[in-house]
Amino acid sequence: MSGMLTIKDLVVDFKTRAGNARVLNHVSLELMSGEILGIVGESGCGKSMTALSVMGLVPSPPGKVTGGSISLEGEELLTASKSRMREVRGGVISMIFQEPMTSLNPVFKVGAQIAEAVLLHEDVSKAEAWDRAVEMLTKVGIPEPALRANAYPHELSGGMRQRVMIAMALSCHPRVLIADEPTTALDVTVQAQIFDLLKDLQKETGTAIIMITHDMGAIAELADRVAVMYAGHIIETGRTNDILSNPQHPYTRGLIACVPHLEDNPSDDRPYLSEIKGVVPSLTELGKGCAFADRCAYKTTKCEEQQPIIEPVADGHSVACYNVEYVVAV
Amino acid sequence: MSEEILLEVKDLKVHFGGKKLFKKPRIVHAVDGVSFSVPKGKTLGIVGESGSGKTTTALAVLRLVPITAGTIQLDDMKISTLEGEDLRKSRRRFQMIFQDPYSSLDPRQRVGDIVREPLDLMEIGDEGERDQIVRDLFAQVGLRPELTSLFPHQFSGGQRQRVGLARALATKPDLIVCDEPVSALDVAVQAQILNVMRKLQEDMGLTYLFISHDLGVVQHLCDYIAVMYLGQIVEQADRISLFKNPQHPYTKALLSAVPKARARDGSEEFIRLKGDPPSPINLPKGCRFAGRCPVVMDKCHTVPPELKDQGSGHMASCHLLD
Repeated sequence: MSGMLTIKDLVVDFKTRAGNARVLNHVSLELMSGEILGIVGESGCGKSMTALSVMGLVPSPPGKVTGGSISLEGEELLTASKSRMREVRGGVISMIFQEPMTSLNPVFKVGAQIAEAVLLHEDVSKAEAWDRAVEMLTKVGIPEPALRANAYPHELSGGMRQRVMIAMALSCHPRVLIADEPTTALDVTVQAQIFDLLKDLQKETGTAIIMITHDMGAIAELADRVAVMYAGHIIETGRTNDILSNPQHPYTRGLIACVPHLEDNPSDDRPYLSEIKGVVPSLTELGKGCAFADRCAYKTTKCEEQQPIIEPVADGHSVACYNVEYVVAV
Repeated sequence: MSEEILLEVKDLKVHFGGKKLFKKPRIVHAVDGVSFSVPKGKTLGIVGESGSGKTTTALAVLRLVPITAGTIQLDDMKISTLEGEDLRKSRRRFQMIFQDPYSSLDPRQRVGDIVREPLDLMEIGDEGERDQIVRDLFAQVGLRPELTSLFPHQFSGGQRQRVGLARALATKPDLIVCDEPVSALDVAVQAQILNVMRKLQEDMGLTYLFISHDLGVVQHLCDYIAVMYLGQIVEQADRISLFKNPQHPYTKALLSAVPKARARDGSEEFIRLKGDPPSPINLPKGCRFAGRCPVVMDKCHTVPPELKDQGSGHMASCHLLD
């Protein structure tokens, strides 16, 4: 496997009335071809902003990419021309958004919306583009695709709309697909269908997927590797099984422990959920130290003075914490 | 359920729509014959997908939607027939926590006044005492009492949900209906709110009717669980029995669809449902789940199954279990 998309030391700042907010702070990520990378974290941790930076869609002003590089198979995207970025978006990297209800245009037929993307990126006739739209709808498992292509978004259910979004995103055979909370708005049974679909399509086309979510369950289900984000930093990365069975950063541990997981075999004994004390710090007020220090049980003076660098602790598993050995010992 | 029953709902029906001038009436069977009871001091969870009627059931219990048929009994009070001022007065005994802490608090009111409003309306305590009651409520839900003079936008989502909780507790209700109280919150905040809710239940003997689609949360918080599908309860049992030994194929599929946040070993079996739930307007003649059921039989398409006791209070409605 080779590096498909490499993000290095990416820094994004937002000017706000309260001061400068550093929403991404030296974020480095590597996406291999044909893998599913999960990015997990709470709201405001920068996971969606990472995706928008890759797409060149950081709202500017007030946002600004102030440092770092994003390279797609060796091609630098941050300095690419506007017209090149238009080719990249949808053609090479495409994105599925969280809300299938609001990301489709209500006054156009879904077939036409998929065909529009094809027409934009490829030299085909309108009829060919429409045929491709129908073919894509078949691929994502929509019954009676030729008929459904003529439907308007309001005539479809939430799960169907998300399938249309996936069909649209995959219509130009992108090499990278970014899925930003693709199933948050859907029911669990439909979510399971969408996960299966993404896995199947990924196997078939070899598209690399970045999956953004706040749900560790979704990560366990789909991702090969995970990056955990907190307040604009990547604080832990590793293979999914390693992160789930052996999390090493206190925040990752807290994140996994505070969710009531569904047990097959529940007992009468119900302990209180473990909490992560306090709240996420404001991005305008981050000090020099570790962003998690105020909420961390293992805090030392060093944590308050200097931001820890993310370093490998095992093969393919990196953590940004000074006190890993104490955390793991507990 | 041998304990004292606080809330008893019998054959509740809520239908929407109806007479059209020139067209055939189209009736939405949002809730179609639901019965359950909640013992005092316990929590009943209602789970189901969107459109299954779980929220409508909750709203009907609170008398916030018109009831088509059925009775609702809270302790010695028949809520379903109350009208006018009697109904308004009775509301102090059942309160609600809403899903979205951002839209359920008036942005122009100070949070102290928001929590005080039910006290004023229900004339609880002397006017002079009420501010002190509000401060006590704040302390109970884990907010600093001096925060009462702030506005909702100055709070985080978790703090706002605590304000909503304080408002619901103000009238010292017996029953609190919670409609997806944590689904709009981040996971770390969700844990804090769930813990506060449990603590309050233990301290004050509250009874919760808890509506959620998150089975992990329901398993954590609820003592009894009812699974709804298209306006009907398809399975109902205590928490251990339901999760250990689910009977209805829909419950099994629902449990199987929840992603498990643990390392995979490849031995898991998945049951996958196809398609979406049918429309609650044109209901299927037989079992409502028949169209998506992985183990459907001929009989299922014609005869609707009954909700029957499958042993020690575990209720399920499926022909396969007969």
